[in-house]
Amino acid sequence: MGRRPGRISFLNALMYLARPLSWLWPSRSLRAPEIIWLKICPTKQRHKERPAIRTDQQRQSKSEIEHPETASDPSLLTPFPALFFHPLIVSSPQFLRVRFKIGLPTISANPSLTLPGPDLQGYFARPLTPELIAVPIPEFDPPEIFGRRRFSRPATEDKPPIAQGVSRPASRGESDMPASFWQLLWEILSPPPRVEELVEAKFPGKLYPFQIDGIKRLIEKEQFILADEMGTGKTVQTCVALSLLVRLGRVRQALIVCPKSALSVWHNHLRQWTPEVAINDHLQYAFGNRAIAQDTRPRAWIVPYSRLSTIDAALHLNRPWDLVVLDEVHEIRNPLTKKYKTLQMITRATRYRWGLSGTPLQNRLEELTAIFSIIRPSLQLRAENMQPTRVREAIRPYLRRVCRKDVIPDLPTKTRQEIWLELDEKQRHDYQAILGRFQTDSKSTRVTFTHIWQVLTELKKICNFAHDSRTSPKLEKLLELTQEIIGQNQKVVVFTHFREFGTDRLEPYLRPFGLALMHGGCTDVQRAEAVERFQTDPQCRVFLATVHTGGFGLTLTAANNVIHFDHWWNPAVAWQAEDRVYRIGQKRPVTVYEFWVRNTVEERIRQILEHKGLLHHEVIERLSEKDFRKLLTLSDLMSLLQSEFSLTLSS
Amino acid sequence: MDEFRLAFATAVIEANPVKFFGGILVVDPSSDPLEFRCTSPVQPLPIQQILWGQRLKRYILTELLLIPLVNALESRPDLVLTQDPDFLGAREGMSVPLLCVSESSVETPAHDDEHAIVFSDPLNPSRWICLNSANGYVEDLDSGRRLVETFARACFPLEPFRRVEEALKALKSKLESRTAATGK
Repeated sequence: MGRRPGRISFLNALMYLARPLSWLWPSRSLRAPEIIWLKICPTKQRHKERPAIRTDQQRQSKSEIEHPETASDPSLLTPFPALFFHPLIVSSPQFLRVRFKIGLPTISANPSLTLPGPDLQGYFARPLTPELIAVPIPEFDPPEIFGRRRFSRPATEDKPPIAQGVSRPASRGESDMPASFWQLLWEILSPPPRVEELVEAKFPGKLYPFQIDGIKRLIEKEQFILADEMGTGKTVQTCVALSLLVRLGRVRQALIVCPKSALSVWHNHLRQWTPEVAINDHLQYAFGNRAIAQDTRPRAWIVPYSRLSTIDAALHLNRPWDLVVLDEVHEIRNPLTKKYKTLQMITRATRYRWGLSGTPLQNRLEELTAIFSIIRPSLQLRAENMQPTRVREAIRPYLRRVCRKDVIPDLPTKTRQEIWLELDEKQRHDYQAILGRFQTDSKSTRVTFTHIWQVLTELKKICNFAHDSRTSPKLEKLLELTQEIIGQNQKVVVFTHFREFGTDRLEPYLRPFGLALMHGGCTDVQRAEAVERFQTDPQCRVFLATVHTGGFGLTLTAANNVIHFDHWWNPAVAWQAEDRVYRIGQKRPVTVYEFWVRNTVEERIRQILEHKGLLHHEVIERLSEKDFRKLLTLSDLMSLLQSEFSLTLSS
Repeated sequence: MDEFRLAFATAVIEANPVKFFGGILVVDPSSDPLEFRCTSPVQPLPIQQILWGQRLKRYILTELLLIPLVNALESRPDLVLTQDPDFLGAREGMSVPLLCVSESSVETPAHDDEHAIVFSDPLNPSRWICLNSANGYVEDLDSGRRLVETFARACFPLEPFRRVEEALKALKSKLESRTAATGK
């Protein structure tokens, strides 16, 4: 039978493929492909040799066809333009891609018999023997499965749920690992800590319900601000929350940033409430301490804000912290400061970020958004683009404020007693001298807000002591009152705003009573010692401090009397200071004595504040120091000085 | 329906070298663990990664991890939840409803999709929970929503995934050593 070579169509080529594919599939007992993609790349080959014509009898045996790799005689390759099919992508989940090529056969001269099908029934000049080059794709080994069912539910409540119960016989995969390992694993797999239960077990009966709620929020929200009123135990809540997270293995490295004066407070609280944590202070981080590196215990580092501004802070504190606590978080309300930028870098990969502040944060939107961009950056607050109400709505789940009177009903009473005094002769002389000097200056130079502020501060100092005097009516009253308090076997805390006109001049008089002193010149160790001694030593009966060093962050509950020797512009500063005494842990009624000097700037400031309705706790506590200053306008201050002049002239 | 079981399936994927660890946790309505299963790491060869291309992850998550894990469970869950939509392809090979759960910032699904529903978290109404079903299994949404809403009163429905991930990370070295010992 005469045969001649011919061309095959694309459709026929597909039919040719059916056969080779059928060889590939059955051996693997896989599902048939759903879709086949073919990429056909026709290439031209030079005619080398006209193939010999074969008869039906000369066809290859069936076995040869089924094992095409054996039929690789080059003489059987077509000399005609060949089609190379590659790659063939089969959408089978377990058989991926098959690369092979098919040499075009020589086709029967009878066009109607061309390409009869893949069974190659003798119509070809020679049998179609596609050369299959199959690249075996490695199959995936099915993974082993391990696991375990839980131990049976505990029968009693007094044992830990994980450790008790009867274990079931091991089933598939259960014997692969020791039971103790699975037991540990169940602790990870158990639901998040039910804080109430954990706290009850670990710190029985010492925490108020609102504190347990605070601990719960800190743990669950992960990024949260506790803005509870002063004296409600924010530090304790934080320490307990830290302790629980350490116990759960979620925190290993914690960074606590706080004001310098609160370093010792954090040390003491951590020692008391979080004994499982090793404590390092800010002096140690700079030295790459080898002993610390080898100690694998969970660790808390206590660093003051002032250190964040140093160059090495970023270098040494830039490590993966599991928890960052920002005490007095309003310290970072200005995003332009170095400490803000350092904190931004330090906290970028930190999961738990907590802010603490007794000073409310709801005053200026920019400050609030700046703080939250560190505490919870995912909120993406932008003060300039958002309505204040929307910002407050957004932060509400991540901020809590409770007031002491609402949550601690058993806190003893606090009474306030004003003591009015007069300037002595020397003070009055100095007072008038300052006013006279200002009057002269104001005629020659332009009076500014700052200038007036300085004059008023000078006048306030004179209300304490005359320049060259070591005594004053205030001092006399203070000594009388202190004697009386100590006679009742009680302790007293004395606050003043000035060092030279305050602590320095009071110290020699108060030392005989047993004095603990704290001012800006004291080292961290001295500050810690002062607090410790006052709290524990019965012979140490007076705590004398400047408001800006001892007025926040401390616990001075050993005393139940507070004396404000003088006054700042913002009464909230004094209130916060007296809350060092009037706080959780205070068992006795607290008396606060305020010294005021009649017919002086102190009285006038008080009148202005009263007139403006700023002496109410609820109003003033919403204001920051900066905002408070804004409330006293230049005209207020001028009127204040004018009244001073008129009084001076009349006298 | 007071007593039900939810299964939370997730995978920890390591990048270099690529490894897939699968884990499934069955919990009761108060989110206490009932059963946990995990797989030894599936480590695709470079040639497998090249040839499977983008389908690799979906194939491993569904055929090699989720379906075997669900079949290995002794406590049959009423619903299997995942975080990764790539798991949804396993629904065909499972007899248990399968949904993908995620947290949504809006009250409605991103697209008008019959395969998704959004509802508020009972514990925190300002937070929204989104459920997605596999293609062709819209009916899973109805039954699944009831279970997830009930469960969400005790526990945020995304929280158990974190537990599984932590467990897988804790088990990682043991699973790897196990695989190395058996030569797989």
